[in-house]
Amino acid sequence: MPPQHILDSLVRLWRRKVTPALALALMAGVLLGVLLTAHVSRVGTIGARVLGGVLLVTLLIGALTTLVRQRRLARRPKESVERVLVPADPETGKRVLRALNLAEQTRARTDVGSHDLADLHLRRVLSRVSPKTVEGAASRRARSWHFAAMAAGLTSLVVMVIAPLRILEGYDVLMARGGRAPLAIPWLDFTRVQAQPPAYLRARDRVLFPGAVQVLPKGTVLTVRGVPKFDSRHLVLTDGKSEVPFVSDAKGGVVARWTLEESTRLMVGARFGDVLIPGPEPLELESVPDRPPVVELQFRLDQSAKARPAPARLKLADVERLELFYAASDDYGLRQVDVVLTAGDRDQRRTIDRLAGEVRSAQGGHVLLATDAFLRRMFLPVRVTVQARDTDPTEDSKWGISREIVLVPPAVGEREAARYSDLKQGRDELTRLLALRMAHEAVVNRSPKQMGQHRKEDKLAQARAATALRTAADAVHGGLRMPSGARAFILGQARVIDRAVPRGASAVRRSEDVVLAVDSVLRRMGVTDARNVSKQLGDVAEEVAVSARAVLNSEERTRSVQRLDGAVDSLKRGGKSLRQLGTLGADLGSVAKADTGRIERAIKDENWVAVELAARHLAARLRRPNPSFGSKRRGGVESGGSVGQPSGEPSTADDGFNQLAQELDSLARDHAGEISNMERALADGEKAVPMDDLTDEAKQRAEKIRKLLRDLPLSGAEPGSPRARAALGREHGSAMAQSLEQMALRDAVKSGKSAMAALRDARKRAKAAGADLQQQTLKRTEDELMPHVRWAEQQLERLRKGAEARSKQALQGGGDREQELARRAGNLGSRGLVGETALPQDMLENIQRAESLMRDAARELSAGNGKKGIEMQRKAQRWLERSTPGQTESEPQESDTGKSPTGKSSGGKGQMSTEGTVPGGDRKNRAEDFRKRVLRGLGKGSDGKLSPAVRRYAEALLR
Amino acid sequence: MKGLASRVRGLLLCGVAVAATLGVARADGIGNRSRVQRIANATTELDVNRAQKLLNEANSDSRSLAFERARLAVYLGDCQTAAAILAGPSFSGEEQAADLVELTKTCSGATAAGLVVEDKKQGVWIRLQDERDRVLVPIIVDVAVKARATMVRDLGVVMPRPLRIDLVRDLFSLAAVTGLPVTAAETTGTIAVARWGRVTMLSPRAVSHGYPWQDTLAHEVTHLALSRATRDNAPLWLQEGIAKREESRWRKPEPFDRPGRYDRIAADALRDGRSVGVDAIGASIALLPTPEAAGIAFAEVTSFMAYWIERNGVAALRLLLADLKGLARGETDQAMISVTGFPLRYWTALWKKDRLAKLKPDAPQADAEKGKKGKKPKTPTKNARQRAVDERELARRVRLGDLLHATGHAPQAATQLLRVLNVAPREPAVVARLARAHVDAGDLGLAAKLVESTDSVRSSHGAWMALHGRFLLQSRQAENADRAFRMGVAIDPLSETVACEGYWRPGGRDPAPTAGKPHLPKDPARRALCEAARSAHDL
Repeated sequence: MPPQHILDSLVRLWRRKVTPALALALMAGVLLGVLLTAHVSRVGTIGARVLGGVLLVTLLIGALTTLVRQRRLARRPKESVERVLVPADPETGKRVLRALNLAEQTRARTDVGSHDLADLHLRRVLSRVSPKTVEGAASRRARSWHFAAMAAGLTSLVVMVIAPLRILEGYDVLMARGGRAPLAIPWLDFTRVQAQPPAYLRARDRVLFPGAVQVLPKGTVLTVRGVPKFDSRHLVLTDGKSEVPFVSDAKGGVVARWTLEESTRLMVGARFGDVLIPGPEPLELESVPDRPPVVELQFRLDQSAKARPAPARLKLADVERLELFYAASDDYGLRQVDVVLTAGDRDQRRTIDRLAGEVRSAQGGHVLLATDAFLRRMFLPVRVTVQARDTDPTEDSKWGISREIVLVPPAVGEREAARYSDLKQGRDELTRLLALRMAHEAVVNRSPKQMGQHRKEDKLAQARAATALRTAADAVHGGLRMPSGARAFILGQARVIDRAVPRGASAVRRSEDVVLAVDSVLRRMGVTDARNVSKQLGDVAEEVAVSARAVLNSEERTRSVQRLDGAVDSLKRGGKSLRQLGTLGADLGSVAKADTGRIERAIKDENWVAVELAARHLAARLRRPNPSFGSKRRGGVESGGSVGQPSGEPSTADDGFNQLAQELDSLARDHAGEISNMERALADGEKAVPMDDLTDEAKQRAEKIRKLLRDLPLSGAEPGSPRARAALGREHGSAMAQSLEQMALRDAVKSGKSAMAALRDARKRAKAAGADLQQQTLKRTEDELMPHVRWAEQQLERLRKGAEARSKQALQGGGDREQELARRAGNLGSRGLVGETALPQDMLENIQRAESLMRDAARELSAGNGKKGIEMQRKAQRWLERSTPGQTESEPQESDTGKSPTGKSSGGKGQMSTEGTVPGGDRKNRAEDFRKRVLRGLGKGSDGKLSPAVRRYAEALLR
Repeated sequence: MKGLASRVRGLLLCGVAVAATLGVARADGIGNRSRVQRIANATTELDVNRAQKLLNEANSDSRSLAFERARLAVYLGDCQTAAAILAGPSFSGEEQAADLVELTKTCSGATAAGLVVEDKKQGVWIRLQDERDRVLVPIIVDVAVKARATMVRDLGVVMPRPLRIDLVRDLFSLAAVTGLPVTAAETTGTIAVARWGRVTMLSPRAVSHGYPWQDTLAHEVTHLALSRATRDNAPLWLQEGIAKREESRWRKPEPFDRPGRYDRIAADALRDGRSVGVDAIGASIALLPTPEAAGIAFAEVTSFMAYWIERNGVAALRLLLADLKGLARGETDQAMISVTGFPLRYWTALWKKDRLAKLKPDAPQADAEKGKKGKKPKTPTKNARQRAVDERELARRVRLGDLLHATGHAPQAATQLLRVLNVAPREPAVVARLARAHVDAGDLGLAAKLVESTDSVRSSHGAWMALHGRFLLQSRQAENADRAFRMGVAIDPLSETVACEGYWRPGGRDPAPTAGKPHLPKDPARRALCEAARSAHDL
């Protein structure tokens, strides 16, 4: 039997026993390896996942290789001996191995020995191997494999039983792509998703269900609750980009909150290292942002016109009143509507509507007047917008902005230039009249026909000149009027021109005087206006400098350049206006033009530093509005020669007029003082009248009045109601009683009359309203109060007579002084009739009325009729105050001085002035200020220096 | 006259600048004081190229050298660079540099983006604040070149090239560029300043009816030359006396020059006891008690220097300047002794004696006007009252004449002005107005007669000279006419009447097409001026 056959039979015997056990062990091992791979991969890091993969592959390859080797064992005799015989019988096995080697050597090489002998040797050695020994060894090996298979199988079984999901998770993680596992695993039971919209939207919470796309407001907070299916998983709520971890809700569940910013797919997942295993059924969410409000703006300039939509560009000079109509709407709710005025880097926001955020649309209007302080101050175009804000508190700047209306203000000084031009026109017409008269005068031996023709031409030219003057005096240029003094002066000169020339007087001479008088006012006005406008233009130059700096520093260069262009344009236009304001204006305007040229040159070169430097220099220059060459000396201080020009003032007419105005002002002040003197004299007289006999009776009456008032209601009712009026009557009555006790008869009468008026009013209202207030009680109280009031009046009259008798001497002295003041008024009136100091007709008439009343007052005072005399003095005072024209100088800029606009100081020589007229309704701010001052004055009591002004104010209000 | 005050202030400031240089050098604690001094001297002497070279050689960032760099930048007219240098922290709070720091700031604003015109061939650099002044440039260059040549001829001083001139628009800018306080400039009426190596002067458009700007330029160039020649060590009386002498020597003598005027004023002052004294001017003419005293001081230094040169010759003057350059500011007497053998007081005594002997008192001096010596009259005399009335009447008629003329009533304007011709028969402003009115009224003969002779008016006047030239030209006296036109331009170059050689457009508007084209001068410079004046009128 060949040795190979013997060996094959032994191997077969070995394989029969060992191979089944080995296969079983390999299967169990592979199973265990698979489980191990899953757990390693589940860590989720990239290293763990690679390790898991390598492990799995190695295991499979190892098992397969082992099986193949087992199957191919018989084909390799040497290996068969080594693996089968040596383990079974090591000594024999080694002997066989040596014999096998010898046989192989002899087969390959003849020089080693006989192959047959070697083969025989091998056969004999193999024959010595006991199959039983081999079988026994195989059985032992098979038992070992069985044991290993059992161990691995049992281990795998335990792992699979304890945490079967981990194997799935592991392989899910292992298969992940881009950090996301392919297989979704439901992580939560009883999942509930609740959506809570932002609080400012005031919307209810919603429960969401997966499946459909959910549309939610931006900022909605989603709360996802559930019970975890598996413990120890790191559950998250994610949109694929960011994650929010679930936390315990302390009720056995977990919760996570998500604030919705953008549209997304939201899902629950579990985080394993770098890998997320998503849950099934993600939430499709669409975020709807809270859009800013939409504002539509319309406007109209005339109440009769139809409103037009913005945008628009309007000249401010053409706008007297700009009515704005807005309609704002928002997707959730409006909170505030503002009108915003922006000019350059300045802006002003005016809230015109505050809403609670409950309405989604609002409409309304707002009126901007040309006299608006912001508009008046601006020299750059003002952009007007209406802006609405919604209720979103998270974004402060989320305003809906309407399209803009641009108001282009007049150039700085444009109004002053127009006023100057008007007056210049008047002066030129006067000059033409003068030329005409000179031409007529030069003709000798005029024929009657020529004389008639001349008269006709003269009349025409005269009317033209007077009309031009009056037009200039009364013209309003964008709210700018002629100063009151200058106006009075010009109207006075117009009256002089209108009057016929007396026989023997020279019409030429009169015309010359008027021409020079108006010319002097024009020149002074030019100087004052030029100074004021120059300072304003200085602000514009400053704006140019600031804009240039902004261009240099700002990231928004285009916008800054636009702002700079706007400022430079304003500067140029302002400079042009300035040049029209007389000699000083021409000079300063020329300076502005020169430096504007430098600024423009620097802008062209984009040399912003130079722009700023030149503009700041110009600003400083214009704020110092002196002539370019400010010395009285005329040139040549270096070279010696001077250029002579006639010096001196051609006319001092306005000085004379200002003198007259000052004297009128002084007269009014003196007269007011005289009224105070008389009032004081009467008051002193009253104090001297004995009133002791009345004290007891007054107290008794006071007590009666108090009893009478007990049935009336107390204050606290709805204002304006009959009950409130009755309560007011009670309060006045109480005040009367108190005054009677203190023997303040004048106050007692006043309070008593007020009480009766209030009671009467209460009765009337109660009747009209059908109120349950007892009208009978009111009537009875009123009737019973009347005798007490009459008694007080009688005693007051007695007191007055006594006072007049006691102050007779003082009153007579006052009468003399009043007479003197009347004479002064007469003199001033006559000075205002003609010539350079001519006053307008209405002022002359006022002075005449005042003079007449002063003479009447003087008579009454001299006769000892103090009360009547003072009444007349007060009337005269009112006319006097209406006759004070003010100075011819232009009004100073409000920002320059704290003086009142009329140029008068509010007091003189330490005394508070009590004159002054009630501002008209057209001067709203000043009228409002005046009212406030008066109210403050009223709060301080009725006596004192302000009392006449208070009374006049009250009278003016009634009118 | 107050320009003298600014001169004093200029000298003081230069002194301060030099002191500041030395102070800064000391503060640096470096041993290169001599180098800094050399740079400072070069700058003061207007030798900016040498100063620049020395600074380059020094190649250091020390404070003293930085200060000199800033100073040199100011001399070159580059205030922005100077401001940038001085903006460094090493100069903040530095009292000695504070003046220069402030100057560079204000100067930067006044000169930023100014129009620079440089005539390299003639060596004149002009910076214009007002671009419209460009038409003056050819004339300025001409005057500057002639004045520079006169400095060589009379003083032996070769001025560096380019000669720098800043033409500013107003006193505010003049103050900003020169460092003169603006209030002082306004009070004293300074119209030009020679400081920081440049002439800074007002544009003629700044002054109504102009001023003698060409002579002023020559006056200031003289100051620069004296600064260069003496390293700024010339005393005030020398500065003003020589500048006054030189201001009209760059051109031919003209009718209104009146060279003896200052001698007369000085002699009268000496005789009346009103003399200020050549060496008693003090720190500044502006500090003298009255304008009259300032005028006398001005006349005295002018008269004295004329006398001194007359006695010692121009060569002695050159020697004096050279000697002063090596001395300190207070050592003028030493220079005077070394040059003439006698101190200043000797020469002033001689000068007083000479002037009193040569110039007899004016005969009809109105004593009434002055009142008794040392006492003021309590009430105005009849003459004073009459003068006041005359002045008012003059102002009244002139204004009415202007208004009537402006509204196109030339005959009536002439009537008004004729009424005051007897009050001010030699007043050129009145005469010129009247002549213009006659021209517009068609009475050319009357107008020509009014402006026939320069003897008929007391001083030069732009419009008068232009009308004078116009009628000279019509009578074919082209050379005399040209001289008259030049004299007019030397006063009021931007007036239409002056620039257009005695022609104007009535009311400032072009005449009707049928009236033909308005007159334009043939001389290119005056033609440009005329066109500029007309376009300015149209704006």
